[in-house]
Amino acid sequence: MKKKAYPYKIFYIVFLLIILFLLPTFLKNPYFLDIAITVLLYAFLGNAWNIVGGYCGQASLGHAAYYGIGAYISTILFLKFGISPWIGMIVGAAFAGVLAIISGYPSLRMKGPYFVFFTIGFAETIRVLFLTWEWVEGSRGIIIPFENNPVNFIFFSKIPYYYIILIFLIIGMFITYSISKSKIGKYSVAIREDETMAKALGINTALYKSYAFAISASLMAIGGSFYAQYVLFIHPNNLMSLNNSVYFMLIAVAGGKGTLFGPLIGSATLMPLLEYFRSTLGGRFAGLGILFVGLIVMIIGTAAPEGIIGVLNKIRVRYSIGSKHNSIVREEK
Amino acid sequence: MKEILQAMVNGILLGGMYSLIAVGLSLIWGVMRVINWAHGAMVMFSMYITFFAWSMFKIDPLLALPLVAIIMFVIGYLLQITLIERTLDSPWISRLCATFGLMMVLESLALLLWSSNWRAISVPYGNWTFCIGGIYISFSRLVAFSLALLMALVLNFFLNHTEMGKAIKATAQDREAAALMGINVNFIYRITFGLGLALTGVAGASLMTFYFVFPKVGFPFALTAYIVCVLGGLGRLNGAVLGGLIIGIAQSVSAYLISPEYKMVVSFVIFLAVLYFKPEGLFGGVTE
Amino acid sequence: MGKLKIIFQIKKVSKSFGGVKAINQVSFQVQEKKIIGLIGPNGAGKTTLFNLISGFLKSDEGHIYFQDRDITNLKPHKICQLGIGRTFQVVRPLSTLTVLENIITAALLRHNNYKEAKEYAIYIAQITGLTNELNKIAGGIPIAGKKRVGFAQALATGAKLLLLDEVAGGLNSTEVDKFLNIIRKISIEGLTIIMVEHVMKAVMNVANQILVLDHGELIAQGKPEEVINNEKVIKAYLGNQYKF
Repeated sequence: MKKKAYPYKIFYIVFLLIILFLLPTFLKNPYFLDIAITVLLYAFLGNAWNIVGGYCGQASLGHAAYYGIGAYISTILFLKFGISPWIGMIVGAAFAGVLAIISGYPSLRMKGPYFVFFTIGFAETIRVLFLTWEWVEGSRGIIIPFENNPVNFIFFSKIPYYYIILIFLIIGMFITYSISKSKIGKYSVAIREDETMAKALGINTALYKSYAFAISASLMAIGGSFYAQYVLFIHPNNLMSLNNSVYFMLIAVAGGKGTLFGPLIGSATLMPLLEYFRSTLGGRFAGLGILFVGLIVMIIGTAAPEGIIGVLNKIRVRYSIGSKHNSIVREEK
Repeated sequence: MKEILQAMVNGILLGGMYSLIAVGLSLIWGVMRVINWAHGAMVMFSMYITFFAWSMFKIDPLLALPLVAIIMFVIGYLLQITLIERTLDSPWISRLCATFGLMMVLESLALLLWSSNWRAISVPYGNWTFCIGGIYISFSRLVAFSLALLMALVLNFFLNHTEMGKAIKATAQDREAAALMGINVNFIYRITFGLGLALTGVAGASLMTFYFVFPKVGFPFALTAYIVCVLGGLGRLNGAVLGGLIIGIAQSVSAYLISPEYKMVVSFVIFLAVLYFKPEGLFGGVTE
Repeated sequence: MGKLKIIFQIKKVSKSFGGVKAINQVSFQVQEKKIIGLIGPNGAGKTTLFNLISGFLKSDEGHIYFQDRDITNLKPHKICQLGIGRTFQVVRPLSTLTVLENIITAALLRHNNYKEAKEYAIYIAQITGLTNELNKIAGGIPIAGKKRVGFAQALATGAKLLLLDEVAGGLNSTEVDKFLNIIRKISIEGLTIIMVEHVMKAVMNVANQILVLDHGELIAQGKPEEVINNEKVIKAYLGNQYKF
């Protein structure tokens, strides 16, 4: 006889969804709406990183390259070939996926810090290449002319952007959820836990790492296209910076790497801090946000490696809130 | 031809700085298996200390150098106790967070306290240049380079011919065996981290004789230092020294032959090539 | 000699590290459904041999055949997919997952459907006596339990040949007996087993044939009673000062 714990989680999720969908009606101020969009965007990007970094354990610090490539592909296709960014976004995602597999290939055998170095080096190379590439305007960056045209993924008001990124996030998290329940997900986790053991269990680790990388990079590229259409200005240093790559990782890690809601929680915690200090105080004080984030990151490194979700779990276990006990074993006599 | 030679000489001189910074990084990794992502920020920090020693007390950077090195050693020792030690038994991502977070804090503090303006020191010997066979060599850079080489030699001697140095080497090879032999591993770790930072202090002070400081100055140096470490082999100090010179030359020559923007691309190509073809680096470094 | 097929053959396989020959021209054959004990003093090369067979090490020379297929130097995951499962001497469970999830991960090799894999995993857990541990986090159970999880995982991959590396180590007498019963049972059901053991009682009681490895060479093979009285074997374990 199976006993299932009461699915109270569903209620939380529905509640959260309702709040998120109704948010724009409360946040009339475009400034706050902008922060909300940023939170959702970085939650989306953190979720993409989480697939390969959290679930599969391949902590790449070069993901900003795919973010930028997505932005550039959809923008170039739009401005030079008249293709709508909605389509360009898909093209960018496909390209990023393939690139991830190709560029990831040399790194499949690299361990620990070498792998991290490789991803950093790769992203920086891409960034500098784009900086010096005349055809994509290099260090001048590209401005996307504003027009109120939904077909071309440009809107006058921020509200459509909010709902679009919200839907992207929901889809992204759903993808992560499906993966985590599937063979790809279980194998990715095995690779993360112990790659040698995974091989001994018949897992083609190179193949599954590539899967995770490709999916992760594709989602990253979609986020990049969104950014391009939202901000209407792209530049290699804004998109493909090591800073960004680290933020994607930090958001997932701060929230709880390898968990479904980690990136959302991480983004909701870190991004408002960063944004607030960056835009309200300027100049020297722009650094304050980074200071706080840096402190949070240090605390996570020393005391809370499983992130906010890890801390919440510990609290829950400590005070025995809720019953986590699922009896799943069939009794056979 | 002469210009290329000039570029090479400049590259060697700058490479000495890279070597110095990389050696500290490589030492910390080799002994503790920690990548100090705040290493560049430490260079920046020691540069600011040197600057303020000059602007407030009129101390010449080269005179301040020993003091800066000692201060950085103490800071390193304390950081090891308060921060790094807590992460040693956690997965490596914790160490990444701890040191990367530290970097973020340091850079933003620097921005807050000292603004993003460039600060430089003007020393009486700042403009001295030798001309040997048509090649111009700046005195300050030469002194900095010599100091870097001297530090490498001193470190080599220290590690191979003193009790403490040998203890450090033993711990690097096998932490448990060293502990069993009576070596206080935690103490060794603290000394090592202090040493690594002391080296950044030497680099920082030397740099201030011909360079300038601003909050993010550490980043390109650190990035290059990582490349140098991988090139030479993580944990191989000789490799770090040699690697620094190679990268210095590569950057300088490519900046001249192609363009300054490409010098980082060249560095990265070398970096990726090493990682792909010979990940243990030139000298066969410590992979895990 | 029997009517049973040769399921596994290793021919003149050698492996050196630096100048040291860890495995020297080792050859033997294994019939299906047999239980082979692989013994030898410490450092004889038993785990190295397992690593060579399972693909984690590349051999310098020689060939390895499984079910008439040359598997020499194939990748580890491929060898597992072909039907050879193994455990590790130093246990490696997937630490943050539960025991059940550990076994499910192994079962996914032959069961693409998660539900099926889970059912199969529960069945395997039952055979290996892990039914009461399923919800425990694998990293937190005692070593004997972790070894059993490793054993269950190797079984769950649907292996036809099992390489067991010191699974009985650290078990008390009753547990050893239980373990041996499991071995006998799965052998009857068609599995072939090569087990490295230091627990002599375990191996002598259950093995059909014993292989003795010393300094990388096969110095004896035969029935347990024969091998135990073999002079070379005794010398290998006790050293040359014991004269006969």
